[in-house]
Amino acid sequence: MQDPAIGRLQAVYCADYGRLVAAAARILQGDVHAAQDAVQDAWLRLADPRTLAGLDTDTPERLRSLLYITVCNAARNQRRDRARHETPLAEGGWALLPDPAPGPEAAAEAADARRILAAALDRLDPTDRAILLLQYGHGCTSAQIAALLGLRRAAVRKRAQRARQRLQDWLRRAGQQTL
Amino acid sequence: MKQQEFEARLQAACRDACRQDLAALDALTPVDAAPVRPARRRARRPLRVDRKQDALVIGLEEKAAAPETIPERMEFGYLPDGWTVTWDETADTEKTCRATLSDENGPQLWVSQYPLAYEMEAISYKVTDLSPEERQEFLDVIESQGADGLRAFAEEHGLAPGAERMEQNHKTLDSITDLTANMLNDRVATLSWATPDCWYYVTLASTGYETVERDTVLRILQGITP
Repeated sequence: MQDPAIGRLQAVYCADYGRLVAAAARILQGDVHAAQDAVQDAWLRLADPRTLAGLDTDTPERLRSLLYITVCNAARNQRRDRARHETPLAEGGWALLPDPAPGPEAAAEAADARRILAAALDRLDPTDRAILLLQYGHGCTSAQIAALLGLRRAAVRKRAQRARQRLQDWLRRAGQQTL
Repeated sequence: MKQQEFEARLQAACRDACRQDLAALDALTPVDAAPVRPARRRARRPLRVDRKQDALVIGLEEKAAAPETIPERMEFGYLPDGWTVTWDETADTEKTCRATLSDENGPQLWVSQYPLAYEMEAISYKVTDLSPEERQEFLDVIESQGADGLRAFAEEHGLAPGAERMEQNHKTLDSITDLTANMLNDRVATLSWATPDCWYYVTLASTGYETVERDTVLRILQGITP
């Protein structure tokens, strides 16, 4: 019998499929077939009762967010793998992709730490950002994050610690109190 | 800012970021593609060779949660008068328990108890004679391709004859309660069965049937707990 959480995840997956492929395709330079592979890979990582254990699977928005984070990570992994075998992108190749780094000045000018943190999160390496979003946004354990992102548990812990340190440094530089 | 405060703000910022991600997702124009049918990840499963079929037939069972240590050492609920149990104290008792059961004529049964996770690899040793490289390939095929890949592997490597030989002198049981005295004919040299936690492997002395009643063997084996 199918796990109810998997059933709810499947409903979200089917409803959002086209948009998830579009999101992955943006990372994969418009390659829809590769994007579909990334979405399928994300599904396979997520649709495991052990991975979903303890997470909020009753709220569709939470499931959508988990799927989105996992899909983007799978697409980035594909892009990385592909880059190892192919010639680098032409200079203008990334022009269509959004700039993930809003620049330190903008963050420093932001009045409250929460907004600065939000801006700083976007400056992180995308995988580090995904780790923090899963950990703090979804309450995932390091084992669950490792399963979702295809990393070792130790790497998850180390990267999360480093990312937190980086955020704290940025906050300090942005004029916040010493942490 | 104290660490606790930082963590709280980070949590709020991460939740905001999740919401913003979803807003960005909603703003995307969906790609016009039929959803790939979601498929469950195939868990690593142990191999079970079903003796009831002529050819090599593979059953796959859940492996993911299979224990890798023995939760409790087996006990013998029934031993006839005059029989003794000798434990192999050199064995790593977390991974293996070995007992020799003897009567006045000497050793009659050797019973080994392993964690369930050992079942797959152990059976790979029994199916046929494989080189270390072939055995690793065999295990990789089971893990990555499941039964279909294994059948192809079996055909390619001609494993069926090995299975036939095994058919004659080894019995794999779904449960020890399935064992009957009639199954214990003079060709049977080994038996194995699995419980939710452990995998048991029994070797019968080649001369055992001359001196030990089949019913006695049956009662001893069915009395093993847990």
